[in-house]
Amino acid sequence: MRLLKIVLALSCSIAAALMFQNCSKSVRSFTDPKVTEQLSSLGYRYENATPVYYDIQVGIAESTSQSTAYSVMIYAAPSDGKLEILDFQLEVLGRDAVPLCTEPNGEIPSGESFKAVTCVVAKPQSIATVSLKIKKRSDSDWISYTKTY
Amino acid sequence: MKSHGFIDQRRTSFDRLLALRLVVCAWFLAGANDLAYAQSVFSLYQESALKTQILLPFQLQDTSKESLPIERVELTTPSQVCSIIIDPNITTNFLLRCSSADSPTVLLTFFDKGIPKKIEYGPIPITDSVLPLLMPSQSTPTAPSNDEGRNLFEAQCQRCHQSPTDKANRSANTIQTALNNISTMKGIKLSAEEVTAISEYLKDLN
Repeated sequence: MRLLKIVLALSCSIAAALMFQNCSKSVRSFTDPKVTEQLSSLGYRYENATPVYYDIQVGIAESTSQSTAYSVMIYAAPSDGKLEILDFQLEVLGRDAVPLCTEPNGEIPSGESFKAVTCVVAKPQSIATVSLKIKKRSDSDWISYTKTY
Repeated sequence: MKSHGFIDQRRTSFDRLLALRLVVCAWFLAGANDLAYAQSVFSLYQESALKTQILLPFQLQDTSKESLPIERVELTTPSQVCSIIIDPNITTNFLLRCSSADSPTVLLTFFDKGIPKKIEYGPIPITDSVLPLLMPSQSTPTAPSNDEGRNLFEAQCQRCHQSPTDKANRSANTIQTALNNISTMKGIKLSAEEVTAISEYLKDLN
């Protein structure tokens, strides 16, 4: 009986100890090649703790023989989860580096994370580069990001 | 008798110690295996912005809406189209990206007052954009090429064929044959000049 109790106590202690076998495992390291590769494949673009997560997509809303209506879609949100207005500046360039959109600046209201800007481009021109500058309204520094098509 | 009493006393102490250990063990094990409900996961993007092809951020929060560091994150079922990782710069957040529409569920592990806990979140409804998307280039822009063919490809072909490089070097005849014979392409009406422009654009990709 006593032996059984000792075995039980020992196995329970081992079980409790096993709970913490990975406690000393370090938090994901940026220098780990596997992590770096995974980040790259995911399209992770932040070198430091970014105040704002952001992304851009460009869709074709309509295409006629004369022009193409693009929808430049901006996705963004504060990384701390707080509600705040985001200001953005957009620059949409064609292949000859000429600006294609006339009213590219704006804001994403607090609590929202999406804004679409329509950009009608006369053919044969098309969008080649979209540059986004974005920041929280309370911040002074802009975050810049360029996507090439 | 005295010695028996001493042994009984020792046994009683031993039993109490064992009982205490068992309670502590059960507490640890319960803490490790129970799904947490006091914490919650919060999508930093609104639900309508949960689209494919973009990196979607989420945050783990406690009941007072303060963010909590995440120890581990994984998809509950293996996915061919979704990948997930903890933000290495902001460990309270994790990032999810899906190449096509899916509804993944994720399992997060974190420590609550030193006790490992898990929380399940999902299914997360991730949808495709309703518009055909331009595919970002991996290289810097080159000299102007066949813009007419590029526009036509983006408007008429990209929804199904995705990247134009997958269809590089298709001759006008090949494209026209596909348009005539493949059932899903028969509805696309292109003139011979437009087919040639697409073919020229696909040649430019080399």
